[in-house]
Amino acid sequence: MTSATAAASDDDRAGLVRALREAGLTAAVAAALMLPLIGLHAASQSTGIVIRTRWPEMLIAVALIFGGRLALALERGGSPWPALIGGAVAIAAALLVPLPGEALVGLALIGGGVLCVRGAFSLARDWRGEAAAAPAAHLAKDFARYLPWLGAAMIVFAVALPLMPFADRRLLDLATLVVAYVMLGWGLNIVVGLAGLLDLGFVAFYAVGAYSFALVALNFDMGFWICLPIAGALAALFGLVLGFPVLRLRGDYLAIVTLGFGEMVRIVLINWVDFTHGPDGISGIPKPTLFGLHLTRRAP
Amino acid sequence: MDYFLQQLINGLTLGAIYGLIAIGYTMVYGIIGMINFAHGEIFMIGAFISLIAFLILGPSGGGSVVLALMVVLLVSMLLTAVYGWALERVAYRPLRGSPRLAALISAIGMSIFLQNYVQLSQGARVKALQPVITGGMTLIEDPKFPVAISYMQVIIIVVTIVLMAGFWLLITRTALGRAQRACEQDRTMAALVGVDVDRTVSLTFVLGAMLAAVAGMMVTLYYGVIDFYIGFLAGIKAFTAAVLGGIGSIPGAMMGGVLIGLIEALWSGYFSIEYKDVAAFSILVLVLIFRPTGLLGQPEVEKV
Repeated sequence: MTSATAAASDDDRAGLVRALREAGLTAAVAAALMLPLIGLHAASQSTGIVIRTRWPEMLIAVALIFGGRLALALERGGSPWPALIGGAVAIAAALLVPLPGEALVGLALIGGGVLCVRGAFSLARDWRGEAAAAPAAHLAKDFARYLPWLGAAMIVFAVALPLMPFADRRLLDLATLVVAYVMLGWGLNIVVGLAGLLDLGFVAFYAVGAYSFALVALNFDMGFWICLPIAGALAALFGLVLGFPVLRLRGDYLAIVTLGFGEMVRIVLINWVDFTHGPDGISGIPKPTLFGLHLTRRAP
Repeated sequence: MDYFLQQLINGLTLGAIYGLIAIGYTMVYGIIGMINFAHGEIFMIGAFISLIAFLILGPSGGGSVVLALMVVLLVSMLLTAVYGWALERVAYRPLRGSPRLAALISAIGMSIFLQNYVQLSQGARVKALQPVITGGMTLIEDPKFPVAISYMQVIIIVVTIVLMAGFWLLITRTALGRAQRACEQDRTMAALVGVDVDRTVSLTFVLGAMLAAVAGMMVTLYYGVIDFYIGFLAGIKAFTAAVLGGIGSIPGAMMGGVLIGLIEALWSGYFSIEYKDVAAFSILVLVLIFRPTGLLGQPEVEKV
């Protein structure tokens, strides 16, 4: 009896020592990482550059990392309480104590949250046994069944969004950007996902489309609806021209060549000032119209 | 002719720096078959650490310039190596064995993260360092166009050659180099015969980061101006160099670096400085179209 408890406490002590060593190593690595770039700061001044120090911030961060790693290691060893309590303390400290620097507050909040979640999960697993992981798979299956309905609901929401009372300029601009990125994602999915070609210069076509609309509309005085297919056709032509030499390559060579092409397009657009106005960009592009209706941002 | 010679010297200096970064790319590619896009950022961090170390030592360099250079070199290599190690441990090791695209996206994410990390912690302004090594010598006394080489350029070229020689010995003669080459050929088999693959991969990242730190320090000294964004273009150029030389081949990386440096310097000298990057990438595209495995690369056998 006594020998069994002694063995158990020996085990505990060995686990604690192991956790302490792990936490110490993590804290040492974190300190080495932060010493030159967080602890020291090459601050620009009017007289030149001076070195400033941020030791308190760095020490607090290292201490947080040490504590967090210790709690995580103990949680993995089978005792969830340090993670739960430590996480709660970290969150409380982030909210109540004025920490120097927003990054530290973020670190304490996120780290504390992760610790709490980990601790709570492992506590729940202890209570309910090993079966606790099963409902997740069930949930995923249910989710897949409702996915088409979810998509339809989101399309309805997207159509109704401009009419909502809370939809202001900022939100609508953001929504427009979201839709534009969705379109970029579709295009990239054709190249990378369906064709399996790792194209890192895909944004070059985005630039070609934007510049061809702007230049055609300004130089030839054409409307949006004529320019739209022209811009698409020009980008497609560009893709064709690019594809002939590049598609002889495969894998990573293809990746780097497309990356290079993307960068070349950017450099040419910035430097060819006569044609593209360089870094100033092109302004005064005519707004699109729909059957004579002006699609401007505010009523005329 | 003199003008050409001068551009040759400038290009060689630039190429030495690109070559040092390119070795990091090519080693990592050889051993785990992924493009480490964050390597350019490791180079940028090396440049920042050496800048800060120089500022701490003071304008006089703490008495002796040579001693100061050695100290800064060691400090920045050591601390940048920690960054290289942590990068592999945090962002790449958990993704080993997952689809290639996952590791690549993780690398691009780390690249953006490290850029923003330095921008936030050190400020977005351009940092300038007063020249530590000044002076030079005139090679050809021509009244029309004297050809000169600065001491800094001499140091860059000599340090690169010494490092390359040491590195070559490390790869071909030591147990670590043997383990590295074994992992390059077949990771599973290397693990079966007792090579610690995780340790070898970590050390590969550490070595690559050290060489990038040397390159970063030399850029800090050579140009005297750095900011948080220098890693991007330098990274792409160095990767271009690695691909040009045949990715996976270390002499190829060095050669590719020198070639890219020469192309850039000669193009800037004779044509236009704005389009020097376009020239470098165009040469890359041309080389790859006619010799798709790079100059010194082995043709890849596609396993079906």
